[in-house]
Amino acid sequence: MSVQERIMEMVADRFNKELEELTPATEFVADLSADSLDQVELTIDIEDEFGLPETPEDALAKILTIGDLVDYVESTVEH
Amino acid sequence: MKIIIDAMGGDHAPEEIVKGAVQAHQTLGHDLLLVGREADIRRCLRVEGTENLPGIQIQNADDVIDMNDDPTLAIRRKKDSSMVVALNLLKDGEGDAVVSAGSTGALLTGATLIVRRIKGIRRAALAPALPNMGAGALLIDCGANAECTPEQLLQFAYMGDLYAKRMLGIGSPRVALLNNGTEEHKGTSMHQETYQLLKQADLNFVGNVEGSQVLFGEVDVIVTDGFSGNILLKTIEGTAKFLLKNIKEILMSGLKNKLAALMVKNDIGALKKMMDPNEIGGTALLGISKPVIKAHGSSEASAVVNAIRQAAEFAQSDFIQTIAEHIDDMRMDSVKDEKEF
Repeated sequence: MSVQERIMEMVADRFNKELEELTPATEFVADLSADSLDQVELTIDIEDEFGLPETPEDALAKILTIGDLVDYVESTVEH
Repeated sequence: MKIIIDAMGGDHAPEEIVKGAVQAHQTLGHDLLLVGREADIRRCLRVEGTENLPGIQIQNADDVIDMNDDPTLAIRRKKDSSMVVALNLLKDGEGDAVVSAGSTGALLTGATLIVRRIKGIRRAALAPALPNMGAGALLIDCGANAECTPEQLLQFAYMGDLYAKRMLGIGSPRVALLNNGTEEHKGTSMHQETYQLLKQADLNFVGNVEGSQVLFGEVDVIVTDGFSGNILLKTIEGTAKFLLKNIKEILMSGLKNKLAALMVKNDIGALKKMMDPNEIGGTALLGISKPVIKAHGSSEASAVVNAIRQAAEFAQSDFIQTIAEHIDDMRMDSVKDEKEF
């Protein structure tokens, strides 16, 4: 399973959505009605899932879409 | 039963927290795990003459989350704070419930991020029991979520209904939506949509209730967003203080009134006690997967005792398990589907 597929699954589960409703362009705030607590919760789940270090606040602020999150995870895993 | 106490949270911590914990241990018999700066806790225990009391353990935590800390940053960064350590101990099964009089925002954030919500619950809510002309009325939410969606309010209604049944002993709680009028069309679009959801839900929904009517025993669960709920709660507190102050001034003016005061002294005392936040003790964070109780920030020892009692009763109840089992009923599409079929 790719990073994107796993992240899509986790987002669908957290926001009670079907996978078909989500794309990389899906925005957390505009499309999923996420607030800051939702985003931090999801981030912690992602960190645990992929064994990432704590996400810096400035990086967190730049994650607006599912695609942004996938890019962040892939680039962090590579490093 | 072991209750984990954030010994450093609150205006009068750690002195009053430790004092209350010792009293609770002696009167209720529960084991306690005090979390905070060990030297400070031991000093307070010495003052109480109970430094080596079996049944009271200490877990050192050097840091403290204060009221000015950003909740999310504090929970993520202050990993050795008494609140974060206490919540991690609860998560790891080292106790049955957590009591904290610390920052409400940090406790809510910490409980959500560390202990986690019941699966399917969108938001945890603060739900204090208000004194009223009946068995008490549950106000949900009183400040955890400033803005809410209709689905979140539907979940609050179900959680409030179950809490009123289990913890307040009300057989069929009358659930009402706080609004600016009783008619169905009143309020914002959020209120109107929530009204329709509650009307269709498997609840004893009695319609809208105005702020002026919530204390007269006609409703048992008051559903509202945290912004309005907090204003209602603080207005009630302020009005109660205002009235008691004026009654006191009337009763202390002139010989005739002082004599009258002597005759009703016990009744006035009972009224004052009913309105005292220390008597209520704490507020449960409903929707979290393990019991977390927020004690009033200005808690004195008696409030801590009551909060520990409440935590133990909550932990002994099947509230969380029952919510988890009925989570599908609390979804917006589930309520709408019922109407359609």
